[in-house]
Amino acid sequence: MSDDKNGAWVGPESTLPADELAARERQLALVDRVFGLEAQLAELSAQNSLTPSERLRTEQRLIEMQGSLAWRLGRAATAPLRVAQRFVVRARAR
Amino acid sequence: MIPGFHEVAHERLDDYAVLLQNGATLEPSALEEITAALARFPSQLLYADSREGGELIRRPAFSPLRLREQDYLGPLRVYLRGALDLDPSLLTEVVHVPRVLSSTTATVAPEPADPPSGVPERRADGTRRVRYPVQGEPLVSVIIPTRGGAATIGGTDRILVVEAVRAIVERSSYRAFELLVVADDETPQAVIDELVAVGGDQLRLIRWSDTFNFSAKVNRGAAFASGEYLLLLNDDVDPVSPDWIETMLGLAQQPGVGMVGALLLFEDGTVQHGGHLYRDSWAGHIALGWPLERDDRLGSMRVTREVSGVTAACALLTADLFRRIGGLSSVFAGNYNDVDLSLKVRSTGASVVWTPDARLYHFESKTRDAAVAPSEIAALRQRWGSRLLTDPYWSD
Repeated sequence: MSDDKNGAWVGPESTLPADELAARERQLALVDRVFGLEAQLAELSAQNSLTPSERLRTEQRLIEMQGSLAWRLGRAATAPLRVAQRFVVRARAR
Repeated sequence: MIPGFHEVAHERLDDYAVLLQNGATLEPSALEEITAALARFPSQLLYADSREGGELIRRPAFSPLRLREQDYLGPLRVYLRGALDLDPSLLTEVVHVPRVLSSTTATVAPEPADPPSGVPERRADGTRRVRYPVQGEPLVSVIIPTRGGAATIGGTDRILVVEAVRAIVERSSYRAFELLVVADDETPQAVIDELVAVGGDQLRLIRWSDTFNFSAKVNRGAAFASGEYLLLLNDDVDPVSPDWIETMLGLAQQPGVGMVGALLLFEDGTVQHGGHLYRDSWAGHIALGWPLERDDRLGSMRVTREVSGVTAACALLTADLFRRIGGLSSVFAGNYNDVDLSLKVRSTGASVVWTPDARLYHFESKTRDAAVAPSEIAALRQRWGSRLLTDPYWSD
């Protein structure tokens, strides 16, 4: 066997009619698109799509993060901003 | 009653049996936390993290196939009374509380019950393996995308795809397979010629003329597949275990299992893939770069276990499931297509399982720096953001 003029390989190639191959691949792509959209939709209500163990684990991670030194230092550092924001909100509400 | 355990008296959990390993102690708030968790999520079985000799032992989410090889539930387990005599691996409502609710000097794991299917045996390292004989002799379509690349392995130059095909043909004990090699136009003619010689009647060559898209190449192979099962395989692998296909196939035939992955090793024998790990909006490999003998506190690298996902470098699933979930998403041309595939499989309610008993070399560079397109990361987080925050099956 030898290279053809375009440099593409030649050999005992499996083929399908072009429209049949396109239909099979298009069907996969469409199903994937639906799955992607459903997954995005589930993300919007993520709490409902998690299993009990996953929800408990996520809650525990949140508790651990809020108990961390980095979180507490961050809260302390941004405390004046939060107080100022409260004043601004109250002043606008008057 | 489980040998080595006793029941703890309580007032508010009439329908449940709180079992504690002999010598273990409950944390002061344990019964309150158990009551609260069961009020939110009524379950047949509850278990929790523990402290062993002062060290925190985190446990994975419910993993029924793992439970057949390794009792990882720990020193505290709370059973619905009607479920006490059932095989725990067959329970459907099980909750893991990721908080320390008990302490012990050393956990004594009970011997798992005889599995409802499969044959338990001892591995060389003393751990238990359940071998699942293949039902029937289904055809497995091995899909290998390639461009005919070469590399120096162990000081020898080799054409990766040719050696992968040769290894499968010559060294795999399972024989009902077809090899679908999806080859770029640019694949050297000499490689094609050698593939034809090595692959024989089991080889089917499929052309890829478009721009690079790993997912679309695999989907092209799947469009030609005749097999009941698809085995997605990179061209730079070399099977170590002769029974790797039947090991993966036997697992894939178990009820509830959607996809099965293997233990992949770098050329130097360190671990390349011990399952996927999804955490902090990031996806990676469990045990990446670990020496083979290294393990975590639970001994997770020695047992077949449920995981969040597996690499498409070696993954087996039914052709029907692959088509029902839309195959590999071409949104992910080069990266994260296997993460997306795994999460699609799990979104159907099926599990993804990894096994150390199907072992292959994966000659990927340890220093591989995959160029991840920002669009791939964005698409992954858009689809699966909450699934990438914490990994239910791996806690280290």
